[in-house]
Amino acid sequence: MNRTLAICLALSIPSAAYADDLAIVGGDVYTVSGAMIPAGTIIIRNDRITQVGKDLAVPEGYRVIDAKGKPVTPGLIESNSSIGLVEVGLEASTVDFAPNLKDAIRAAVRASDAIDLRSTLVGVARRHGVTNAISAPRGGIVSGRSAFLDLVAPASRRFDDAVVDAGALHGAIGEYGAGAYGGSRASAMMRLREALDDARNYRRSKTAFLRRGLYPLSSSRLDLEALGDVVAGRVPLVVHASRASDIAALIALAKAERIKVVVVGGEEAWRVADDLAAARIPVILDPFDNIPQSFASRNARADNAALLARAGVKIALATNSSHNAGNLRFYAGNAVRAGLVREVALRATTLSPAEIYGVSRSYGSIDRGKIANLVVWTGDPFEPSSYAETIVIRGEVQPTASRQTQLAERYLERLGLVKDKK
Amino acid sequence: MFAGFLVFGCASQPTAVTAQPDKDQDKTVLPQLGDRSPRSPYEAVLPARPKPAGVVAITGGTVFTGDGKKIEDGTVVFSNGKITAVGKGVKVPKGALVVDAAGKFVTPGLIDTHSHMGVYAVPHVGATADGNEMTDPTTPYVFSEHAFWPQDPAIQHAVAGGVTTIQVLPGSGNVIGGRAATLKLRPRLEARAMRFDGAPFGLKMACGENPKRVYGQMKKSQPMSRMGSIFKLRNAFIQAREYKFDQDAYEAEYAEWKKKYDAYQADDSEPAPGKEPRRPSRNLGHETLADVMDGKIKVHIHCYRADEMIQMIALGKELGFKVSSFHHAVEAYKIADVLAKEGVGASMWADWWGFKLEAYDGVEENIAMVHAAGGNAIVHSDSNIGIQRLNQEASKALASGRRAGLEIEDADAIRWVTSNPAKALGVDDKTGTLKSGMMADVVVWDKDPLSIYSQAELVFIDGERVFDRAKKPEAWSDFEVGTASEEVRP
Repeated sequence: MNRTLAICLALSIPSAAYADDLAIVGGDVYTVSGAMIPAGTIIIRNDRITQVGKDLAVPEGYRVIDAKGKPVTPGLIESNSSIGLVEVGLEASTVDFAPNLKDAIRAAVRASDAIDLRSTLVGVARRHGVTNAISAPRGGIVSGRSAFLDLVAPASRRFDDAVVDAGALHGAIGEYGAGAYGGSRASAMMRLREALDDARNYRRSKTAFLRRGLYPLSSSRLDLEALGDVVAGRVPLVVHASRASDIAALIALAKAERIKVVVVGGEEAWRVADDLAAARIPVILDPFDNIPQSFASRNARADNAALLARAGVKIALATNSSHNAGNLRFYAGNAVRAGLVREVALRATTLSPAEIYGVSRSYGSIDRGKIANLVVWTGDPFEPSSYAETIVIRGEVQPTASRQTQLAERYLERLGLVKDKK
Repeated sequence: MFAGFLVFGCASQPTAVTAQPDKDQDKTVLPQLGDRSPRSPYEAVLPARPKPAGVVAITGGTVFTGDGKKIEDGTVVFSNGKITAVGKGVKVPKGALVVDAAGKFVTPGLIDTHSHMGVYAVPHVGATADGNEMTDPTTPYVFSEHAFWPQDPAIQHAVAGGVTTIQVLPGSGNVIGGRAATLKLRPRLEARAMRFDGAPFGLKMACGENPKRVYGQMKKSQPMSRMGSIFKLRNAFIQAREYKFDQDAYEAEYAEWKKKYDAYQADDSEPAPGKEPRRPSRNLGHETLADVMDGKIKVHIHCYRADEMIQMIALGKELGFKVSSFHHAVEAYKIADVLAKEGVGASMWADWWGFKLEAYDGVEENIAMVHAAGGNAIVHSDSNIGIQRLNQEASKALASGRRAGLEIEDADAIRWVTSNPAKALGVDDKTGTLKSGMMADVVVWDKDPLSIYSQAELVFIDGERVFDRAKKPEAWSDFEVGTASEEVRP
């Protein structure tokens, strides 16, 4: 690379010190896993948190980040985006989240095959404190496996291993499922049951299948292989369902098939809250869903999140957006406005999604041994007047700029709107 | 709907009048003149009938007046639907209903220049999709109000978000989408009873990707390109101008003839007036565009890209229309100086971007930059979700602007959702500001409306209390009767 260009690139990243070990000092540390530590210290070595507490000594050579009086939270996790699978929504050549496949069962599709982490959407979401996202394929009854992303900048040391296959398959029943197979909710459920059944038989009799000794199966070998993790109960099937009756059907299916499921959408989930709690089925929901956008969400209401949480259902809040996933903190604020307990709202954008997607050993809270994904805020993270001042992902301070801020700066300068550029 | 127009059109033809010679008296008998004024398909037939709550005094709150001022410990008084006093130390009239707003905030009712509520009502099914007459890329002859369903369950939720006035726009599938209605969100059974008294009509136009996608890509018809769209637009205005020329010529000729008619009727020694001039046939689309060229209808253009907005301003100068506000305008920040200089507003989102290429350069500083350059910056929704939190969108835009180094007051951000949209809709002399003589469109908030936790507690429209959070309002929409949503507090 041209030396001058290299220097320019380095300068364009506000914090060039990716590689430092860090001490974040003096912030109100919202660990999420436990109580808030006022004026706490977080010590980060490489990509992990090594210590969290009060009055900790900062080891020599660590870069100190002063967070005095500022909230520090785990990085936010968007539970249902397609970041990296879309650049411009209406331009098909840039959209990879909706494969145009005939078969409604596409369990073998893997988001990670198509993710572009250099997408401009990454920086836009990260700027608002979203450090991680699930990026999921859409369409069909089983859409495929999502990816779990660390939303690092391209210059990060961690860039090359920032995309991993998530521990979840995604799908849809209800009206979407009906649209994907047979035009009825019943046909969608039938097809899903058939696929799960075949996956189970395929797992049991793989050799027979390969010798053509098994009856013809309804899905491809790869799809059945991929569904194997679901029927074995190793990963959840994250299923879009809105209507209370669809959610009830899903609860029954999970019980009968002994599989783990997660509801996404769930506009009417509050109506079956107790059943969801009893079955320990989490719900990923959008707290803005408060009007009957479709017949399936006829009983949508603003306090869905609050009602579910009160009934003991594990919830995650999601924007269901890729371009505007950065608004996740405002979704949380609105959920609080509609009655959700503050701490639960923060948990529902950090630790709960990490648990739902099986990554809570490393993500979702500020604890010793966890990956250092966290954010120093200038004030209440849910308020528009606050912003993410320092964003750390896998132990590295990330840029807060995005293509958007670069564009804005270019025109602020051209129009002479800002005299002293910050 | 179109058939209805034809019926109106036929019924409103002036009585054919030809002078018949009277055989007995050998002199011309003048025919009776019919009602010659063409009946408008846009007239309200029902009065709005506001139900003002009498005299109300909201005391002790922090008042954002909507025109950039903030009054601590202020009082707002209104009576019979009109504001009578605003300020600190204002006397509470005897017998007034007093609302103690100490620790609370008061703003004008919020205004959304861009709503499709009622024309794309929920639930979103084919039966409720009435916002785009996509059978012809130029449909200035349709009117959003004719499709507005006042039972849209979303409406009440917008009111719960402090919104009192909306412009209901046709969609952006067409280059010229049609007339837009400005409505007050009072619970009524019929759109015309929701009319904003005295508001001008709007005209919805669209540039960029949508018309060419709908016609070129989906229907394989014109316009297939931005070139085709501009041609369609230019052609429609050129034809309308000729129509207007013919209409004006006819009016002049008729006035001349009528003078002779009246003179002859008064005194039959005057020369007979001759044959009544023939009225050119009516064309509702041309009528709309003629009113646009006369400045009676406000122009609102869906337009994303900076270059296209500048092109539209130039086209307006060529064809004889002035743009009131560009809608979406995600690249407004690139030409904020031009918009300010030309006096053209921009109705924008705080942060939507990227869903299509013309929205790819969206920035969160957009609204603040248009404001800072001296333009008419407006927060709009285009969404039945966004409209429920216009105050939050303003707050987000304010924060983004400040972070970029722009100095903007809180009270200025409130302008983006009150007096600025009022200006774009041509109703800033009636609403959008809390001052004496204005319509009593008033919202009491439990907290600073720029906080994410703030909720509208009380909403008044023309002095009528349309929303009271403490009273657990019942659902306005019949659609929500008999479902569990009845329990829903918006």
